[in-house]
Amino acid sequence: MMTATELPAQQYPFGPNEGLALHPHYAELREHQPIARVAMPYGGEGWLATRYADVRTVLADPRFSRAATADREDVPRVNPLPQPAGGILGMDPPEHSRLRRLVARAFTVRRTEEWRPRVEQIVDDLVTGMLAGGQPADLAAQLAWPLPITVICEMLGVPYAERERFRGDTDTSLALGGVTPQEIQDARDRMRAYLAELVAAHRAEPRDDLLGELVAARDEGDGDRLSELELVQLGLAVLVAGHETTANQIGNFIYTLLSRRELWERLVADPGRIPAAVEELMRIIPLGASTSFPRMATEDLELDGQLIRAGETVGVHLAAGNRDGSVYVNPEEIDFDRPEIAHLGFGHGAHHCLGAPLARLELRTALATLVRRVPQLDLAIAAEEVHWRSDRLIRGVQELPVRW
Amino acid sequence: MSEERWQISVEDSCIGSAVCAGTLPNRFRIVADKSEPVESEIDPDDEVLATAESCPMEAIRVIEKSSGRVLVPEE
Repeated sequence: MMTATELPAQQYPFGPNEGLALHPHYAELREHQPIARVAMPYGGEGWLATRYADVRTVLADPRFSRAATADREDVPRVNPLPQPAGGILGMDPPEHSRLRRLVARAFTVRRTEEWRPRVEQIVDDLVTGMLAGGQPADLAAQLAWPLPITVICEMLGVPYAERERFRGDTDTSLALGGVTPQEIQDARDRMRAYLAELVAAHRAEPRDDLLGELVAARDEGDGDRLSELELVQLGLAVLVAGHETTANQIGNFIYTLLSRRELWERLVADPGRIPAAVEELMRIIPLGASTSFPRMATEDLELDGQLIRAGETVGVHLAAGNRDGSVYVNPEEIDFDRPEIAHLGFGHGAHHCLGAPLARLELRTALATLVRRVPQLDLAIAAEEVHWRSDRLIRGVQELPVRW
Repeated sequence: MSEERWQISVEDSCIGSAVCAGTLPNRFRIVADKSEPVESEIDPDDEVLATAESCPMEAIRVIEKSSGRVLVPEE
């Protein structure tokens, strides 16, 4: 116990991200120093967990708190600004459960399934548009981004035509570099003001969508269920998380499949494997650019032999946990026939991705439609020439030029 | 003091997301990638309802013992 405390903290991140590659140092840490001391870009030093079992413990054990990290400049982290208070991602149970139950009903597998025909239609229309526009086409702009934005706008009750009012600010608010803290704060403030406008519009004219349900929950409830600020923050969280992750992941998926043609051909030949392929790609692709959303220990505790003091934070790396060789055979291989083992791609514990069923529906539908309608789809440039977003919490392509 | 009791069960559709176990570790635990109730019969507890309603698979069933009424999942 406590051996790692004597090792100097390692500077985090370990190096720049190259495309979708995971920095090799994560594998070394997972092997030799599973709870590593790291010096984060902001807020000082903390711990980093890279093993599957430890990641799950940190995410599900209530002795690790998200609420304790909210609004604190001294929390070691990758984001220039701390987690704002009052948001669902900065809460612990039971406050977290009070908010989550209000939106969880809209995102169950059963309720999400009701959206299948609409999602299929949206994908079909986007693919038709892409094919009609001629080649090469940018699949990111033509399909990956408009699909989840359209779906979450319709679910939540946000006019798609107003997407420029949140797109750029979402991007800025999730920046890890290249923008000033003030720019991030301004982007957050503008989006909050926009959501407040939408809430007011829903209140003036009740509508049958998720934002309408939340407004009703606040206005018809006893007032304890949801404050006005929580209502605005919750709507914003659903809007942001509902498109940024899936949009990038669709591009990452198609890039991975087309740059390793045998994987694409496998799905063309056997579209029944698409659900398994989605899980395997969720496991292997490091969507998050780094560790994020650190947890603070609320008491002294031991994690994989390391003493964690109350008040210290532990970050997890989901993709590192997803490549843990003690859990997955040949963890670096992409294998659509792998035995089913719950991956960490959607997280774990109380904050497990609320929109996971919707993300799965969108990812499966995008793949199924493309392999059926455009089996000859290919990258229009060499894989190594694809440009990647940088300085962002979520990894993704800048553009994905394709031909057919 | 109500003498009502609730029965809790987790169906096989559970995917082990641990939304429940991470929220109420005194009520749910993960065993071999699936959740199970720590006790299958409990005194009424609104926190259990909130947590059951947050299950993405709607795999948690909460039944009012006296009436057999299903409290979660909603129809």
